[in-house]
Amino acid sequence: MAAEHTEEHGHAPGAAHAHVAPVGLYVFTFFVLMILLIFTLLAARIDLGPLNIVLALTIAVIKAGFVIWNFMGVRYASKLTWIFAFGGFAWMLLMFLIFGDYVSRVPIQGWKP
Amino acid sequence: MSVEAIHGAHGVLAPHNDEMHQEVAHQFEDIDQQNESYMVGMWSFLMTEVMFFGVLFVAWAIYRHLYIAEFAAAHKALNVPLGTTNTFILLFSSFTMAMAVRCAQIGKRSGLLAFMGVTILLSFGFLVVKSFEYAHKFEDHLVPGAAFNRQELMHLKEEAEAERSGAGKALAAENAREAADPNVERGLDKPRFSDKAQIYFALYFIMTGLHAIHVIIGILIMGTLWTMIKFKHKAVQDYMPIEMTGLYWHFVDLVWIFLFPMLYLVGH
Repeated sequence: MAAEHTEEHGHAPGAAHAHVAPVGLYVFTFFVLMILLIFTLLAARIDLGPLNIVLALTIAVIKAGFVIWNFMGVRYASKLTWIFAFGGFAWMLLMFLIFGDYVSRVPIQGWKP
Repeated sequence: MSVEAIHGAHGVLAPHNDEMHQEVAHQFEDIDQQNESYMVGMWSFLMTEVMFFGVLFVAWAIYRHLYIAEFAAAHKALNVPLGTTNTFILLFSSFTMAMAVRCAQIGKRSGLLAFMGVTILLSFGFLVVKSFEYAHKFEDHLVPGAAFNRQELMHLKEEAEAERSGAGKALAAENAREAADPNVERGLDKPRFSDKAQIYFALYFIMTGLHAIHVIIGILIMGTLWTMIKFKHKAVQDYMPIEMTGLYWHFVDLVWIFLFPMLYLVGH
């Protein structure tokens, strides 16, 4: 997106080329994060068995999404930046698969962790 | 809420004064190429950080899966109100950092100094709360090692079991036996409840400690930048170093967003 803007508006060399987000976006994001923090605390009080951790981490992923998309400005970033930001998700997916491998294996007879 | 609605179709603002402007280094075609190089460089660094923390997250997941009851008991030692306070502090500091970066982008030096100053103060606040938490763990001997406090852990275990449905009574005798168990040599094939629970505390100290180191590095970077901006150093006339620091700080916030539920809230 950065490239599009320079082509549309020839501004003086040396001028700032930032995508300036409105203050409202940051205030909105902060309030969403606060609400999600309260959700996390309330969700931890309810006994959902094994689903507690799933719910807690789902809320954390949503919170992380808001921070990455709005605070870190990925919404305004170039496609090339997106690839690198996505790399982090790819790594976490790989970590999840390693976890899945540990969880799904049948223990060898007599072996106790 | 869209950028266009507020700033017109540009999305680009010229700086308010001559103190903030960007020089194009000779190896770049133009300022956009230079800015994108900054962004891609920073994001690739952040990806290595994801790899750094990611392996610890998977270690946590595997050990939690293996030692679910031990983790449930051990996590009772953590102070949720203090953890919540720190989560609030970090989320708010992320907001002030985003505002600082915005001020840098539009060349508002006074706002930049104020917001970055608040961010630095908040990060000190985080470390103060964290130090109280660590001190309390050390006082209770809930640090992995030879002096690990088994009695305290067994109290936590009873607390955790009281919350779980029906698991409590059968294990009461075992709890009493282990609490009274002297610190004798044991084979690695016969780990006790408290031995396994120490893995939780090991992960707690490694993960929050590594995160705290990142907070300290963040304070050093932000403090240096703040001083440079204050004394109008040439290098910070460009807003990009401030934006990069912002990305780093948001990443520190991101790690904590996961650490908080993983360490403080799970195990019910």
